[in-house]
Amino acid sequence: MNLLKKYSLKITNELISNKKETQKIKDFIINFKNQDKKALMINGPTGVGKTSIVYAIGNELKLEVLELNSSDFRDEKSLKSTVGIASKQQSLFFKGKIILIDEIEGIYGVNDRGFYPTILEIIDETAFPIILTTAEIDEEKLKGIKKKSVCVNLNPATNQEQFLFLKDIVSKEKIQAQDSQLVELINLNKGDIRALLIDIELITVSNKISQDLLDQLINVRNKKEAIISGLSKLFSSNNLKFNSELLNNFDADIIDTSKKNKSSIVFSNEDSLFYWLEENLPKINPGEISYVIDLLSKAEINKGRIIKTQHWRLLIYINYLLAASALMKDYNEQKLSLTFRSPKRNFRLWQLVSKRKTSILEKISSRTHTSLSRSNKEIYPYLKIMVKNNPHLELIKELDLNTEDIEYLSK
Amino acid sequence: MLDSSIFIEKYRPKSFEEFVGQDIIVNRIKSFVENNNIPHLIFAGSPGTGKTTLALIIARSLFGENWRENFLELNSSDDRGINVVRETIKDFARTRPMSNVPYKIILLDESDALTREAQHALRRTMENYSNTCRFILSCNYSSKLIDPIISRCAIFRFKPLNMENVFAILKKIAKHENLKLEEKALELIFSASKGDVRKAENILQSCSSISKSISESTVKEIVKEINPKDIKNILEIALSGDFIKARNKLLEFMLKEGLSGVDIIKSIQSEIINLNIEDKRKMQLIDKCGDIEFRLVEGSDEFIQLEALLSNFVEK
Repeated sequence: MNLLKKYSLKITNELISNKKETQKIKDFIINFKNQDKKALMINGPTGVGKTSIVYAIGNELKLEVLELNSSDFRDEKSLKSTVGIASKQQSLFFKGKIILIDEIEGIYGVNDRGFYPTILEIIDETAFPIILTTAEIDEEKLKGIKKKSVCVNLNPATNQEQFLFLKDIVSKEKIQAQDSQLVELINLNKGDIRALLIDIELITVSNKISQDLLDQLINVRNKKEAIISGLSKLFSSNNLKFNSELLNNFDADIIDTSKKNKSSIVFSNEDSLFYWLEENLPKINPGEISYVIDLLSKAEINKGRIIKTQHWRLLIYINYLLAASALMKDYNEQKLSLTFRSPKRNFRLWQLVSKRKTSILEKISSRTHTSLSRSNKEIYPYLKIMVKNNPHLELIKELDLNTEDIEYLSK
Repeated sequence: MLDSSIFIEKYRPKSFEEFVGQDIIVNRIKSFVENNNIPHLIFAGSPGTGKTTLALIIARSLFGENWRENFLELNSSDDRGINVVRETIKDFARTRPMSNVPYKIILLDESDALTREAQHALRRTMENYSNTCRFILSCNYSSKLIDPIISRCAIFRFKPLNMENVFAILKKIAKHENLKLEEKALELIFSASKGDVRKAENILQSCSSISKSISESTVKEIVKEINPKDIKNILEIALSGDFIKARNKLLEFMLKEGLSGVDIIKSIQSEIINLNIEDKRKMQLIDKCGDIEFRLVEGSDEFIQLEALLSNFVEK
C-alpha cells in the first residue's frame, strides 16, 4: 500500500478544491503565446498541491514538465545551462514543455548565487511557460519575480472537501475508520494533503486505523505551538541565566528515552527542542555556526549518556548548552521577528521509506547468511545495480521481490 | 532448497575440499570434525573471508542431510538484545540432536556487536549448555570479545584471500556462468575487493548483469557506482560556505543509502585527504573526525554529531 503515490493527482478533474485556480493555470499554459507575462507564480502552503497540479496539467496537455527543485544546484551557471537552454530550445517536431521551478523561497547561500537576476533574464526570453512555486510569496527577495509573473493563490481544501476525499480513499482501500478519526486527522494536518495521506498510511494497522497511534500523533502535533513560542522567547534574550531558567520550565520533551535503538539514525521525537534548534540555528546565526552546533553536539552527548546510565542530573548540562546555543554575538532586536521552520528531518516520510528498504534487506538477509546491516553495506548496493540493469533477473523471484521493491531499487 | 541464483550463495563452498584459501585453519577444523569433537570456536577476520561458510561446512560434515535441524544461525546485530539470543538458544538446546553427534551447533554471527553485558550473559549461556551445544562465534575483531569468552574458545584468524585464491574462485564462476572475463578485469576486481570474496563475487555478478563479456571498463563502471561521489560533493558544498545545503544533502544521502553515522564518518575521513585544501587544514578536519566519531558512540542522535562535524568544514 502506498497511498501517497496511488492517490496523488493524475488529472485535474480529480481535484477536490482550487478548481478555478487550476483552470487559470491551465489557460495560462494553453494561451502562453498571447501572455504579456511569461511566468506564473503559484503561492500556497505546504502540501496544498502546487507541484501536483502542474504535473497533472502537463499530463493532460501532453507537455513535458522540466523540474528544478531545491535539491538541484540553482546558481547562475547551472540555471543558465539547464533552464536557460531548455527555455529556448525549439525542436523541429515541436513538443511543448512546462518549466517548473519549485520552492523558490528556499534559495540562498553561496551555491545559489545569482539565481534571482538570472531567472528574471530567463523569464524575459523564454519560449515556454515558466511556473514557479512558493509558500512565502511575500518574501522581499521574490518581489522582482512577482512583478513579472501572473500570480495564483491556492488555498487548502475545506474540511468538508477533505473529508469526502478521505472517505472515498478508506472505502476503496477497505480501511476501517470512524468518521471522528478522519475529522481528527484533517484538523491535525491543517490542509496538508500530503501529510494527511502519509498519516493514514502510518497509523493503519491491518486495515484498521489504530486509535492509539492516532492519539500519539495528536500529542506530537500539539507540542509544535508550545515550541514555537518557547523558541521566540529563547532567541529574544541574550542572557544565559534567563535562557536556562526558561528551559528549566519548558515542558517539551528535550529527551525522549523511549527510543533506545541506537544503530540507525534516531529520528525520534521530531517535535523536541533539539530538532527545532538544529533546524533553525544555521539560518539564524550563520556567523558562529560551528560554535553553536558544537554546543548542540555536546548537549546531545549528554542525552546519550542519560539514556545509557539513567543519570538524569545530566539534564542540567543539556539545559545550559541548549540555552547558550540561542545566544548570539551580533544580537540585535530587530532581527528577532524570526519565523521558525519546523524540523526538516521528515520522520514520517522516512519511516515509510525505511519500511520498504528494511523489507528488502530482510529478504536479502534471509537468503544469504548475512545480517541486515551487512546486507545493506555489502549486498544491497550490488543488488541495486543488478536490478537496474536487468529487472527480469532470476534472483528477483528468488528473493521474492515485489514490484514496489523493484521500483524502489531501480530509483 | 532450490539452487540459488545469487553468486555468493550459489557458489558458496559446501565441503572442505571446495573451500579455497585459509589452508591451515581448514586443516585444523577438518581434523576436529573427523574426531567428532569440536571445541567452542571463534572465527575472527574481515568480511568475506569464509567464516560463515566454514561454519556451515562444519554443520554439513557433522550432521549430513539433517544439518539444518542441528544448526542454529543467530545474528548478534539483528537479533537485538541478549534475552532474545538466550531464549532462542534455550529453545534450541533443549532437545537432543537428531544424529550420532552428541551436540548441536550454534553460529553467533557478528558476535563483536554484543555489548559487554550481553557477552557476560552469553558466557553463562555457553557454560549452561556446553553439554548439548557448541558455539561458533564469528566476529571482525576478537579483541572486542571479553576475556572469559576468549579463554573458552579456540581462536582462528581468517585473512583476506590472496590474488591466486580470488582468481581461482572468480574463474570457476565465470566458467559456470559462461562469462568471458578479461585478465585486466580480474585484476581490477581483486584490487577493488581487497581479498573479500563476497565483494568480489558481488562485483562479478553486477558486471554480468550488464554483459556476458566482462572487460576492465565494465568493472570500473560498477566500482564507480558502488562508491558514489556524494560525500565528496557534500564536503565541497560545506567548504564553499553553504552549510544548510550541505547538511540537507547529507541527510538526503543518508536516508537514500540507509547508512549509519559511523559509515558516513568513515567515508568523510577517507575523503578529506583528497580535498583541495591545505595539509594543515586537512589534519584539523581529520582530527575533528576522530573527535566526532567518539561523540557518536557516546551520544544518541547521529545526525546532530555529523552536523557538528560538517560545520567545521564551513568556517575559516
